[in-house]
Amino acid sequence: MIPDRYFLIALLAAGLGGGGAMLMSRSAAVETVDGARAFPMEVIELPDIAVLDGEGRALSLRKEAVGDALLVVNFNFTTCETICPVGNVVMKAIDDRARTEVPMPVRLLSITIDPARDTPRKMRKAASEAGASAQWLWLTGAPADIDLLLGRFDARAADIQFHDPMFLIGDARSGRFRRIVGLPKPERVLEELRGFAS
Amino acid sequence: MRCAFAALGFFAASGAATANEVDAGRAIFETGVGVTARIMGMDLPGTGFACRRCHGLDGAGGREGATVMPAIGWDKLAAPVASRPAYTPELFRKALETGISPSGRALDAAMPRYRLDGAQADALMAYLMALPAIERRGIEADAVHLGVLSTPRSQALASAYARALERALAERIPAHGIFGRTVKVRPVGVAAGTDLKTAVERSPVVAMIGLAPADSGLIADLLGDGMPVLFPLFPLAGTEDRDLAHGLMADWPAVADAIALRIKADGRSDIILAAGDAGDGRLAALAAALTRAGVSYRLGDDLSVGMASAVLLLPRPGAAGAWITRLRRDAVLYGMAEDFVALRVRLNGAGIRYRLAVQGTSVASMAATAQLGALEAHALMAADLLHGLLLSAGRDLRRATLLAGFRNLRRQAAPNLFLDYATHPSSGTAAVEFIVE
Repeated sequence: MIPDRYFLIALLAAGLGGGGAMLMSRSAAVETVDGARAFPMEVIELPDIAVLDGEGRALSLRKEAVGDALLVVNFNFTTCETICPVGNVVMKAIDDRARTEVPMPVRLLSITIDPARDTPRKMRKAASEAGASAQWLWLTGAPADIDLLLGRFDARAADIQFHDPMFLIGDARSGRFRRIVGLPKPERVLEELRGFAS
Repeated sequence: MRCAFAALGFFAASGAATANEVDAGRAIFETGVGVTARIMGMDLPGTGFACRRCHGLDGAGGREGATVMPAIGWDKLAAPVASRPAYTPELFRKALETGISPSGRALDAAMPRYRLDGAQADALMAYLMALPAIERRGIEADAVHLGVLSTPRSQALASAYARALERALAERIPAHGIFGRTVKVRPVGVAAGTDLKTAVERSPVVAMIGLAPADSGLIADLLGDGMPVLFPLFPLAGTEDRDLAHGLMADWPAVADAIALRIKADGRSDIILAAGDAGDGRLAALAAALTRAGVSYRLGDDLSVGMASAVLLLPRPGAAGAWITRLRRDAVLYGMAEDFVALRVRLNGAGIRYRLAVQGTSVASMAATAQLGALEAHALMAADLLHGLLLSAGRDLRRATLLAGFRNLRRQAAPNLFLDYATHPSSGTAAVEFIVE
């Protein structure tokens, strides 16, 4: 029974301390707006890994790819023709509007869930097709590193063909992130970003 | 001219729509051309959000994570289900434009809202009505028909290939067939004065196998009509429809990459790409490959081949090879072996060094392994692959279930050669060997 499972998770989380906090919060109240589910705030520590941008440059995820900017992260793969392009439309709208509607620098990250196939060249091409600005990085990397990153974001997909659209909005300095599963309206994401900026 | 072959009979009987309407509907369904997609309030070209991308080539739908893409063949839409009443043409158009289903509920946010006029909506509906028949074209309860196209240009080769394929299928497939269906090769003859549309209408097949090089110009028409083209006797350009076209020898981009990497490995820096007037897409493939490999080059033609010590040449079709005398004595010639078959003696006689990529490397390997001629080896491999596809399609054989088998299709074609369509969806292989002199 689901309530029992959540109760057990809560107990486990209490015993494990901070590491279980996310599990607890993920089972708590979820706000659904226009079919997209926004989860309570959670804490995510970015791993200290190198990622590859569309030019094939190795970047420190924490220092160079993210820095002090607020973050919007989504997950895709370049051969995805179904929901990913719709998710990219949401990212594009945020990319276009964040510069003028959020009083802090915002960095958008599209992270491949198929690092074995998605080379920097493919990511660059996909970024170009999506109309990404310089603030919207399309990242791939060593499969083990990307797997670690996806694990931190709880975004691993057993089968990449069956991944849910997911957006994480947050501030890597504090580690606080809002997770939205589904396709949020850009206004919703911009509102979250303004909340982090204030 | 593009035409929905199977749909013609369907609509001739019902009088409900014309073949042109079905064609127009197919274009919207498959490419999104001419319509506008509205997502999150933004108007975008429909080409990025064609119906087929989410609902599949067969309109059968599926799911991605928690997002369900329903089946949209008209037979499904016109039937009421627990979650909604039946679609009518009016409700269909309303759902497309406003995202409101017949139940009154909003469709998922992942479903774009489309702006299309009445004629476009009618055309799309006509195609969705025709789709079930298109999916079962060439498929009967007890037989499945594979086509081999024959035109006045390709007659002798097509006839020989059809016989070779029949023999190979007889070796691979039990006499009682697969899932109760025998597998038959059906020659599709396009006589002089007859068009492709009429020929295919008369001889419905599930896919066209072993298209001859002389008929390569018909591939766009066949694919444009939703006819799968499998294992043509020439390399694919790599730009064809990824679901409908599959070869079994390295496609042009793979060959171009192999040539570019060879030039790079040879340490060549003074390179001229001489393309004659080859306007068939290979020039673009080679230029892109050289750029990918980081090899700089100059463009030229067969009159300027003497200007560099490395020449990558696509000779003009039918050119006599006068350019050979213009090559520098220290030059190395790169190209595709198939372009130089008739000139090889002259190249050797002139003492020209060359590195020629063999596009049919995989077929040559199969032929050497099986100790067969190239045509027989190709037919044998095609039969083996078709056997695998028919098995994986199962009892519910349709165009889509047949083609879905390519996602996991892998066969050993020679001791060091695997055809792996999960890795190389277009052609199963990127194997390219060179003739070096």
